[in-house]
Amino acid sequence: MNRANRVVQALAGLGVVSLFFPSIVAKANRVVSGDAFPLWDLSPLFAALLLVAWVLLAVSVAGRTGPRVPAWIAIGLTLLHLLIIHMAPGWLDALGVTYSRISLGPHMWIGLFSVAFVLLDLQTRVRNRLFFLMVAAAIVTFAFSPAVQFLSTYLEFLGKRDRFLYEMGRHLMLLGWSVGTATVVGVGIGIGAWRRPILESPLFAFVNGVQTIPSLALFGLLIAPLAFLSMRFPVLRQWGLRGIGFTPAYIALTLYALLPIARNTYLGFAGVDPAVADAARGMGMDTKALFLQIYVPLATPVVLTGIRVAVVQAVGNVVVAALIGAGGLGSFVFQGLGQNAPDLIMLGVLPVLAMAILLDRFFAVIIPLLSPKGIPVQP
Amino acid sequence: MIELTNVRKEYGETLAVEDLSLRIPTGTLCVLIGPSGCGKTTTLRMINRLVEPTSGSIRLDGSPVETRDVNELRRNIGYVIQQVGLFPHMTVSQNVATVPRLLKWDKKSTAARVNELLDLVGLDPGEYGEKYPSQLSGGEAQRIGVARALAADPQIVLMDEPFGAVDPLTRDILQSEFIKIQRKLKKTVVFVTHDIDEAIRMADTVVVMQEGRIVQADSPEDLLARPATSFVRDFVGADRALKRLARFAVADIMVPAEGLGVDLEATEIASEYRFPWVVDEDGRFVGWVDTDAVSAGTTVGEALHRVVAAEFCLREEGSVKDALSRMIHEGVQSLPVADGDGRLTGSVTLAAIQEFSTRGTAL
Repeated sequence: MNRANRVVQALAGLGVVSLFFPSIVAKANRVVSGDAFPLWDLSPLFAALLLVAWVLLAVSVAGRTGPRVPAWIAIGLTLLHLLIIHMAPGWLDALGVTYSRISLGPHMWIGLFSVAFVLLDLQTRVRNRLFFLMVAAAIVTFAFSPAVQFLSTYLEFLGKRDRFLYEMGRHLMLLGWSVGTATVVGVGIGIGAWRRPILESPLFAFVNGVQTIPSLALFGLLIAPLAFLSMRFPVLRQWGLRGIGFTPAYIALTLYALLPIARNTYLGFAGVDPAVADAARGMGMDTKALFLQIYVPLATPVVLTGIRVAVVQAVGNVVVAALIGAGGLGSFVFQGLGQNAPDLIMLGVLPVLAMAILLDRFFAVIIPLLSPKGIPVQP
Repeated sequence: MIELTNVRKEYGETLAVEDLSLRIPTGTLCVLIGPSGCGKTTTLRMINRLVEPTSGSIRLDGSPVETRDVNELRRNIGYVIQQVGLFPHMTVSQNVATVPRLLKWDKKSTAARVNELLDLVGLDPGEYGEKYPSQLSGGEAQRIGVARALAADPQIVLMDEPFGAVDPLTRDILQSEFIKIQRKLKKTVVFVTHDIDEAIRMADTVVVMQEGRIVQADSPEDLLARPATSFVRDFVGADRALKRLARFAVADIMVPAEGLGVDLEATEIASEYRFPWVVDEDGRFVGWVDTDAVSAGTTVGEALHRVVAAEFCLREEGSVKDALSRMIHEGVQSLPVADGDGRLTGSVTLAAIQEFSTRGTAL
């Protein structure tokens, strides 16, 4: 049995365990904590179906069936979870429960995440197609099921639609500015360290050092000096430089994004086969042609992979930036934590998660397109 | 003509090449050979200025390399290395077109030249042109490496252990193909290797180096016949006599020979040998007879031991070493030599080989 199979079986075990947790939480209003219902109370049939499906999944990867059968079972599991959301209002009505909003319980979250990881663990070829099937099924559910109007996170979204779009935009803006800047600076650092070996150790000491500072601490550390600068030089304040808000978040996020980009740039250029460079030089390529025609194309996929890592990391780091008033989807998370409103936290967390996955997929597609043919590129 | 005069290269305290002087005539292949660290690669790399000498001068057809633009110089010198160094992100055609592209040839003549070169190194342009280096075998990659070096038709080609990284069978094929190419193109080639068999096979001149100095520069035949020092003697190996014989053709040592006609009466045989050779009416070698075993009244044809001429006879272009090997294997003192039609043209005797070999080494 290989490693992937064991991972899938562990996830299936987790899926079975999830059935012991409450599935749906019915609330009379936004403030009360509500009543939690395990799936067995709502629909023993669905509970049994889920149990069977999880067990089948674990069994299916034990044989030599390939990734196809487990993938279809995973899709079935996804649909079952979505159907539970769809059916939940009816089941609650049947039990005579009064509610105005419905939250998903731990069972649903654990179940859905297990399925998502199972899909990620199956082989690439099947994975992409089925992953999109799963997303499509979710979209159809949310577009057509009347149950959605009771979902508390959706209700939170409806109540804060304008602010949600604003914070989403702000999240993307912080992401774009910081990773954009880090790309320019990081590629510069990487190439500088490669061209001048004497610079390598100090440059990477700095970039690695930044990475060891916890993000919250780095945000905090920047407040004092920036506030001082802003007080001392009013000109800077006019330009928008303040101790809190965009500026410190932008600086800190940029510093975090530097390491993967600088390191991969260095590795990309230093990793070019010396024999290739020697042959090029020996045939009379000048320094510029050598750089542009040999080093840059050969380093491109490695540099892009660094940017990919930086982007995915930064999506999560921007969440923390909300703590110093920079905004972004993190503001829902921290507001939700403050108000003890899990639905609001989810309103911040779910789009961040989606953003990270989509951007990662986006890079998986464009890196091979932007890389020269003939050299292996990791998917 | 490549002339190195008192060339010296120091790396800090280390002396890589010490006052080396060497002339390589146009159109000849000069092999630099020696153990690791003897300075052979450094010497080679100083010719296209990948390494700048500490002192001394290097001239190509009289003009000193240091006065020429380094990239212009290198574009006019072919360069082949052991690791090949094909550009992995370019197709075979693009790789071969590297120097023409640098020299800004037009597209049409570049494409024509690429096809011509792929043909020259024995690879079908249609099949290989659009492949990437990762899709090639080691031998194919090195053929492309050679084609790339010859692309702009340079007069000088530098080769640094070009066939050192391929398996022995492929190496043998690449060597003989390059010998053919060299016979046709007559480039001035500087060839670095540490394989003495390769050196003797390829070289017009073998330059043996030790600790940054030339210990002997000679034709392969003379190097094997008269190693200048014990170092060279050890380096060329205990079988140097055999290696030397491999450099000579049967034609160099054969003597004319006649065969008996098949119609000859047994009693008319007047041969100084017990087993004279027999030829047919057209002079083709057909076999031999045992003079002790023929009885009166029979013809040579009736007592004939028939053999297949193509298998039994030596060829004039075959090596003396192979002739000797055949004699030892067959347990005979002499072997017939035949031309392509099987006609007996001469013979080679063990005694002649011995004398030839001794004369060579004794001089």
